Amino acid sequence: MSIATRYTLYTFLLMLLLSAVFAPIISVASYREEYKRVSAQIEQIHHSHIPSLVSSLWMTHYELLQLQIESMVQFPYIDRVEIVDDEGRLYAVNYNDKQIPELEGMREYHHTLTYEYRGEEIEVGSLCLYVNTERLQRDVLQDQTPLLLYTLFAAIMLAVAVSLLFHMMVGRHLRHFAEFLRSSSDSASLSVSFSFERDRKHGDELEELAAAVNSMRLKLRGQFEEKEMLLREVHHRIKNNMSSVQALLRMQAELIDNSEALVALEDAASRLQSMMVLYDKLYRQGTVESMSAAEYLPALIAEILSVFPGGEKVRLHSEIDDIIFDAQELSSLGIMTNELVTNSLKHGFLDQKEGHISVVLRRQSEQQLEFIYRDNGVGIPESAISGKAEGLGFMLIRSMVDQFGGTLELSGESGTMVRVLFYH
Amino acid sequence: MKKTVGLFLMLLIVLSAVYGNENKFYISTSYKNLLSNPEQRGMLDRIMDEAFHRIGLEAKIVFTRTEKSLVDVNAGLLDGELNRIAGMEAEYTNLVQVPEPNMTMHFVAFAKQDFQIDGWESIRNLYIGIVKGWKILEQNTADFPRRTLVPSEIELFTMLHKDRLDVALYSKLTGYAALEEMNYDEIFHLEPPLASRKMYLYVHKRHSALVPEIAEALKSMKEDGTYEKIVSDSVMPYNREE
Repeated sequence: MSIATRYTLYTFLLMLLLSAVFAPIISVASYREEYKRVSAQIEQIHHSHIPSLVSSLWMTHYELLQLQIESMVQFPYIDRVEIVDDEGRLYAVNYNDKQIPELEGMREYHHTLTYEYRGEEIEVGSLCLYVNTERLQRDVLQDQTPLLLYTLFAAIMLAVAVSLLFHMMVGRHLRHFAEFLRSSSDSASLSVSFSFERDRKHGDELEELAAAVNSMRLKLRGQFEEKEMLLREVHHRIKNNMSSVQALLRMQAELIDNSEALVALEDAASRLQSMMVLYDKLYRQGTVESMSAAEYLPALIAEILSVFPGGEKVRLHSEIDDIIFDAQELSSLGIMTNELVTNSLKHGFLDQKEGHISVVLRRQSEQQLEFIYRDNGVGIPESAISGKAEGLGFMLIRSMVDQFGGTLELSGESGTMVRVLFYH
Repeated sequence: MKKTVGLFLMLLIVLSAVYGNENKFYISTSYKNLLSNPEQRGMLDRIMDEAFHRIGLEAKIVFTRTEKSLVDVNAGLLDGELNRIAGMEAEYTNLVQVPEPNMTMHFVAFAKQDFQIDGWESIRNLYIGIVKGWKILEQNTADFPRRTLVPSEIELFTMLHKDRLDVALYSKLTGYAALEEMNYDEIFHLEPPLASRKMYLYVHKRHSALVPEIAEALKSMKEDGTYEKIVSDSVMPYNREE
């Protein structure tokens, strides 16, 4: 989920949370405010209406009293007004056909009505006002509903606005930045500086980030170059050392009479040869960590054929796809190929004037590779196919296949056929 | 709406009085008591009925609110005003007073206890009550410190009954009628009257020619005992003094 989407979600949730917290607070405050207003009305009634009510009661002017009662229920939320005179007679609002409001949910305000006569307070009646607090609460809540809806709408709009703004100002630039970093991760492109595609420079955090990353990439490039140089030097020395070891092995081979020891020394020298070719290739190309099999394997086979007696009689056919392997994998692939080619040259084409070798490496599926080696020689003996009697060469091949987690298929009919399926 | 309908009815009455039936004489009153009432069986109703009958006309008594009654007659909407003190023509210039009085009205103080009174000043410091709009009472008590103005005699006598007034000022005759209606028999009037005024019929000036005839009719009624009989019949049920 993108940051902008999360921003939208969190902003919306935050606004909802704020609404959930503040809506009741606002409602309570509104109710209190409204109730205060009603209380002020009651206070106003006390000051303005009660003297005239007392006067009407004192004068027994009941017609006027009735009019005054009717006027008092015009105040908001005062739903009932009752006056009892000094003789216990009840005067109330004439509701005619209207339903008389229930007393339930109403707050009562009582007031004793007195008239000063001859220095004494004479009770002329009592007033009872009924304030419909339930309706008051209901009205306040109803008044809050549009506010809540508005807040919800504002929450959605704000969340969308935040999301859009974040996307426009940050998100899309970061995505662009990430794409750039992904596409320019090799050492050669580390020197390319990144800049955000914006109309004008803002000098903000994004530009600080770009400047920091560009600076870091330049430093990395320097370090990479230094490391490459060191590795090339190391490989060069290894290759030289291998060359020395190979020369020593060949010198040793010339001095001994034992045929088995001679073969062993020549095999060892040959295996060193395959590794030397690899290190030479790695040293010569720009990078030392990886290489295409298409560049390595044909060169290796050609090198083996050039130094092996009878190699000039062999015609090579290779179909090697451009698949990149790291140095360790290529080394294993090279040893396996070396074993197969030297095996063909040593045992396969004994009585033949001309031999054919075919090497194929191709991608069979997205994750699986197929390696096929064929020659038109005498073929692999059955004992080697079954694994009952095999030399070091086949042991190495099986070991390499295991290392790749692959499967090995051998065939000795119509020459040698070795097929390896492995994942890469 | 009510005002418009009232005006329309009044106009109909006037038009019918002027053009419809020349024998009818429309007299305005604001009383609703034993002097005059909607059934036209009040004392003055019967006196007017007889007096106008004697001059060959038919008296029709029409109720109008206190303040409006004089205004309407002065404007010529009605033919006469039933019962007013002398001197109204000074303010209402279209009115002509019939010189023979209808009656003498005694304005007295009603009370539940026997105060000794002798004119307006003797009741200055008492708690008094009067009905709003009664000019003679309002004018004579204007600066009294403990005066209460009430809308009608109902409130006036109820207050007195509840001991919220010392005295209630009202017309003696109509006061007793009201007390009788309200069953307040502990209330009585104090002697002497605070004021006595002869009361007169007023007619619009277009009927000036009738004034001598009406006065003569009233006089003749007093002389032949008709007047006394109507008064006795009307007052008898309420007269506690007798």
